[in-house]
Amino acid sequence: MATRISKNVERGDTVNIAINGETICAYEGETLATVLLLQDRLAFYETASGHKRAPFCNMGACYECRVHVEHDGRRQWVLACMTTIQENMSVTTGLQLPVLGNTPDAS
Amino acid sequence: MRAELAIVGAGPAGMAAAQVAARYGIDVVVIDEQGQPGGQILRQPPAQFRVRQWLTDRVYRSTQKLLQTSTAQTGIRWIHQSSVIGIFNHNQEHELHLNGPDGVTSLVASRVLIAAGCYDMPVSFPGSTLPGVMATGGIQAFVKSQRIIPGERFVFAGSHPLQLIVADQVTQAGGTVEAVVFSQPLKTVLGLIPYTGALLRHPAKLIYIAGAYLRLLRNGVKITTSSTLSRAIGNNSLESVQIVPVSGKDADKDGKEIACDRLGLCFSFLASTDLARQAGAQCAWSEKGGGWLAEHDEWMRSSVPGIYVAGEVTGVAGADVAELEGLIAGYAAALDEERIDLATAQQQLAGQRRKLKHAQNFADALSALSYPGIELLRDLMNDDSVICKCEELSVGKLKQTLRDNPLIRDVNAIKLLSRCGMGLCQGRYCSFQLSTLLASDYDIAAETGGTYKARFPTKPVTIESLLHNTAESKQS
Amino acid sequence: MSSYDALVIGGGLVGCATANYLAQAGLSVALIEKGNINQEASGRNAGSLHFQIEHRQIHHAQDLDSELQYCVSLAQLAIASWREIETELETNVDLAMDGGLMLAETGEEVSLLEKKAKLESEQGLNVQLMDGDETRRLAPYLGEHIKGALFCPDEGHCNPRLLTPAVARQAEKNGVTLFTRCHVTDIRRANKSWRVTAELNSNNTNHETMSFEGSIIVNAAGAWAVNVGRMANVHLPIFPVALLINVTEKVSPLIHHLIQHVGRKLSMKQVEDGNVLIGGGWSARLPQQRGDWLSDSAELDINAVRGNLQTATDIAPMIKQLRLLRTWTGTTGVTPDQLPIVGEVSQAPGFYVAAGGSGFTYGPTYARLLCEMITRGEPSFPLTPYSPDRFSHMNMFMG
Repeated sequence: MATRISKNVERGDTVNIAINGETICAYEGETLATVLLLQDRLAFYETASGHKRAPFCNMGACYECRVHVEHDGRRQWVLACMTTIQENMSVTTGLQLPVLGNTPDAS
Repeated sequence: MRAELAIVGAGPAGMAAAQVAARYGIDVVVIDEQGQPGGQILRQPPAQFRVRQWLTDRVYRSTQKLLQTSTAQTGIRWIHQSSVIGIFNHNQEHELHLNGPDGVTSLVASRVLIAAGCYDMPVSFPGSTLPGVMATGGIQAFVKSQRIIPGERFVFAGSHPLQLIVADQVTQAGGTVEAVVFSQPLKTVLGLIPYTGALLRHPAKLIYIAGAYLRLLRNGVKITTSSTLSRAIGNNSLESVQIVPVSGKDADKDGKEIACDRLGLCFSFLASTDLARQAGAQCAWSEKGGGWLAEHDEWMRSSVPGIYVAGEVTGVAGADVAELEGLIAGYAAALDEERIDLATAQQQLAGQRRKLKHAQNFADALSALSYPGIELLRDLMNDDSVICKCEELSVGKLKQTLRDNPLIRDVNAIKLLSRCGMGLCQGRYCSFQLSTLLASDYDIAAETGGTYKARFPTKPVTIESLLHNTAESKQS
Repeated sequence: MSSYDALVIGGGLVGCATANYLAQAGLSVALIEKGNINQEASGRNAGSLHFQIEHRQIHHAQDLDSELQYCVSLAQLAIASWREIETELETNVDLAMDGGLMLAETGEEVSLLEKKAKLESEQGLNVQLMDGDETRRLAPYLGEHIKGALFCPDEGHCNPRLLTPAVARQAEKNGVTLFTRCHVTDIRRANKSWRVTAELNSNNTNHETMSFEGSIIVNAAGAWAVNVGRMANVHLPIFPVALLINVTEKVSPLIHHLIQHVGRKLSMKQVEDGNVLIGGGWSARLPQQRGDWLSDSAELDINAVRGNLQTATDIAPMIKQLRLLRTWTGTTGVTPDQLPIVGEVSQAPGFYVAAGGSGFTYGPTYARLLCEMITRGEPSFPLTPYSPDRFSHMNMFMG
């Protein structure tokens, strides 16, 4: 399990997000990758043949940290290492991606 | 949106260039994927954190200073959380397409500097795609920036001295490092220590590095040499790694299994030249320098008129070299925009060019000592290893495609037949292994085999973002 | 000097298939390709197998009744041939012939479809008119505003990355000698045969010159067919046109048909591996140097990319959720009347052409018929409408 470093760090306000339906409290400025690792979630997404994948590069190059996120009425996968948590984000891990939502017709 | 100089990358090269160019009155825009400037070397903690004694080591001081002075410089616009996904000819200028939080926007610039940096070299071996296997640079960023220890028990393996630094940072933060494994023999590793200073700016820092090495030993961290990975083991995630002697005939018998949940890979780095290549810049192959490197003249001008290149994209050589190259590129932009005359520019840079040569020599020596070598990289791969992680293609299956198609020996043709390189990472995490395989098994030089053609978009972008810019639509 | 019965220039689908059929008929064949097999349009197209009649022809239906009849009959030949392709090639090429939907968004477009349906059915093409609801039952991801579609059950797609290499492999097995990275530089007539000079590995400084001799030349050089024709002193009105294709990330199976549009440029399909390919005739730009097109260096225009993707999103809104992974270009050969050129150039006996037209959908068919023309004197299905001699007024003094 990953842990936060407490020495010499003062974190900001807390943010609530949902991970697989469970409400988790984390800190402003933390990335989804950080929060998922702190929650011991090592299956960020699943490949077509059923293998779990997790962060590798932590800089937005490898595309191994993809997670499904719903926020503000939108759903898409994002790179967890490049996405800062926002209040009411809802994350679902371990899915085959993309998961398409019902899109209203272009008006 | 318009600018006179668009700089891709807010690392040492980008910051140095921005500062100089802006000082000479050039309208500069700097674009970076991260939320704050600094590049990978200064992955700053979130603005909402207050971190005391962050990277206070003298080694970072110079880059920190550059960060302060460049961000204080007027005349620079900073665009964060945005990827440049393509550069196109636009009359005599360049049109950059930026993918940011509000969608895809375009920026027209007279001149462009590509200072897009580098990334940790991926390697393929049995179990390399297991959750828990990470790039050492990535582990470092979790510690340095997000202020977490991203796991419990760490093993670092590779050949690059960065792994000593990160292992030390992890143990200092309270994490457990089981082993740091070098493929080189011990005397080479010790010989590396003076050169690690080149990475961290000050040769005088060898005291710090030696300190890191000794601290690791004192903390009971095993530093193993002449050894390499044979496999990463685990069901759904990493549970242990098997380390074997590099040149053992009975490698499996002499193998040692180390229980761990995180493996940091640290072999080398690859230059991020995809955007430069998409823009048409000529690149040349350098195995030890980071793969396909952007070619340039002494003013950092690439082969494309109006496009400059600086930093790791011209050869992975550390922050020192990057900053100096960025400086030259900034002066070059000022020169080419006629804000400074040649004599003045040359005079201002005389000392810097000497420093650059010195720093480059250091970097070359370092890479000679720390580059793992094609044999080692090839030996990591067995037929079960996944070579293209996006398409889940094994080395064995790729070899079969090569056997079935004896006329097909260039990387793009191989990609079409095997799907190697067709996934979301756009070949960043398999092209080097493919080139290694072709060189090793078929005697095909990287120059002949080539690299995957870099195309728009250089990073995947949602069609919605491409079609619809929310900022623009709010105006309409 | 290497002597063969036939020299086929061009290693795309048409070249490889023609070489293969000629070899099967007992001829000795050399295939000469300047780059790699399947490197150009044959390997870069979107793999569509479209048999419905084009928009252009419907407008002039009254004048083109016999042309329509011809097209539909040829379509039926091609359909039959595609259904057998995997058996013939003894390998998988991701063939999917589950039907194509040509869409209409407006009332006017629906009328066009109705007109088309009538004409095509009269000629014997299997098509079925559907209203909006029926169309959406078949393809639920289509927008609510889609007014209807013309369904052709035989349309579909296959994998251009696999097809031509498979044909080339079979050609080799049948005795064709393949020369790749072998750029033809000179074509000359000598008595009753042709002499072809080529440079092997012309990119390297120490390239080798090769000489070939054959009584038959087949110009299957696609966008470069005009260059090859020039070398033989023959005018061929084939012009390079660059097009773009967009490919998305892989997604679970969603689109089971070839999607086209009667009033807009659009072609959309989902391949076996899951990616969605979006194209349909959107242009890329060919650079020129001293008046010569640089046909292998097409440049992208982002407005064309946007236009293409907007069209796709308009008819299938869920498309916009997908990531665009790559956009690439390819250069195809287009003739003034958009019909292919297949046949012998009378002024240059033994010089055959097979280029232009719908080279992917009809490539194997053109190849087979051309081979029959070469080996038996006459093809089993008339090729007269495609004859190079329809341009004979250009070549009165050539050959």
